[in-house]
Formats: sequence, C-alpha cells, structure tokens
Amino acid sequence: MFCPNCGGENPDNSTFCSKCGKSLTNQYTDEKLNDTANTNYQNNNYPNNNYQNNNYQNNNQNTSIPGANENVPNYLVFSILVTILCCLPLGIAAIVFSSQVDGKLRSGDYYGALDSSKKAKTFCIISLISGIVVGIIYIILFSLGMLGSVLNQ
Amino acid sequence: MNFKKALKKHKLLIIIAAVIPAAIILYLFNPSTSKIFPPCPFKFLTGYYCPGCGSLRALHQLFHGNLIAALKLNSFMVLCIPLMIYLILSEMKIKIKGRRLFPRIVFSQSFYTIFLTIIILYWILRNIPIPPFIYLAPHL
Repeated sequence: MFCPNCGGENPDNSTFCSKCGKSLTNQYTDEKLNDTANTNYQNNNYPNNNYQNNNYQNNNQNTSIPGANENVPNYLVFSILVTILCCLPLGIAAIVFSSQVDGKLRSGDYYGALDSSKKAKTFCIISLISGIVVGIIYIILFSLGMLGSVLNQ
Repeated sequence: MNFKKALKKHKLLIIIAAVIPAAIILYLFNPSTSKIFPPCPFKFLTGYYCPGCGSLRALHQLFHGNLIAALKLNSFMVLCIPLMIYLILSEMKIKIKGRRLFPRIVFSQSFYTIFLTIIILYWILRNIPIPPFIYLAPHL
C-alpha cells in the first residue's frame, strides 16, 4: 500500500504511514461511510443533503479510527521525570516501554500500543513509589539522627 | 475503587497541590547547603553519580535565574526542560475548537534510541574523574 500523502511504501495491513505518520485508513473509511450516508439520505429524501453529509464526514474523522494517536498516552514525561528525580533504572525501563507505544502506533498496532502504554505506566508508578519510600526512610533516619544528637548534648 | 476514581478525577489538582509547595521549598532552601533534601539513593548506595544527580540543585539555581550554574550542575536535565514542558502541555489535552493545541507527537524509534543512548552515556561519562568528563559531574 502506498501512502496517499507522501507516497511511501507500507505493509498492506498498516493503518499509519511509517514515513510521514498520516493515517492510511482514513480515506477508505470516509469514502465508505460517505456512501452509506448518501444512500440513507437519498432514501429519506433528507433536505439539505450536502451540509449534513459534510458534517457527518467531519465527525467521523475524529472518532472512527481506533488507532487515533491521541488516545494512547506514552507516559514519556512521567518516565523522564522518574528517571531523573528518582534515580532508578526502573525509569529507563519505563522509557523503553514508551518507545514501544510509539513504535506500535506507527505500525498501526493499536491494542499492542495500549498494552505497552499500560506497562510504561506501571513502571512509572513503581519507580515513583520506590523513590517516595526511599525519601521517607531517609527523612525518618535523618530525624532520628537529629533526635540522637539533641539527646546526647 | 472510589478512591481510584477520585484520584483520576482530581489528577490535575493533586499534581498542582504537590508541585507548588515543593517548588516553594526548593526556591527557599538551597539543596547544596541545607540538609532537608534527601540525597540521591543511587549516589548514597554506590558512591557514583546517576544521570539525575544535581537536578534539584540545578532547579534551585534555575528558579533564581542562574542558567549557567544550573547547566554546570546537571546539563542533561536542564536541556530536557523544553521537551518536557511541551510533553506536559500535550498531556493536558488543551483543546481549541476541537483541535489539540499541543498535538501528541509519535516519536520515531531512532529518537528513543538516541535519547536512551545519551542517558546511559551521560551516566557513565560523568563518573570518569578525568578532565573533560569532570565537567559533566555536578560542580560549581
């Protein structure tokens, strides 16, 4: 399949162009729905056919594609923050899973992307929690040390 | 379950409520002189710097407008800030006329490869105690 936007070659089952990232299924679904919409309107003798038709098509563009990039968070910020602030290798694992989210989105594997997205989130939360636990342990040890030095004097 | 729902509903509020006091504390106290901030657990356990070491001190310097001091403490983190601001804005999903103001970017695989390589190289290089590399470790 060739991308209608940039002309790059893609595997037949992909939903997004691997070169420019444009949706490859968009046009097809639009045409199809446009057809059914047309026949429906014709059957019902719907007035103002053109306007309704366009409206339908526009709405459809935002909702019909399950692989719409917008819906799958990659948690990249969260993983970078966790890597930098919690200093844990778990943050790097989270970045690796974020990369899988984007890779799978590019090849059109929506459910695979959702799966990696969940894994990235899990790793972020685990490293955030362990960072907080280490911080709390430090604060307890520090205040015990302070208490000890006060008592000694 | 209810707790989880409430957490999701007020996500933004909770984040703001956590970040603002932390930023004020970080503005008022310098992590390199005061002892109220916990040390990096990696540095504490192994004695080596991690890629994030110095980022609290760097943020403190940034809050006071010292960009150069911040770059000396943790250049990687400071250079990542513009990227992170965009990503945070993008995750907020601000919409104008139904379109996202900061669209979600699907990064290419090479972006991630380069990014991870930089983090790991930075991690290794800043621990080498020889002149060109000591400038990567936190210093003032």
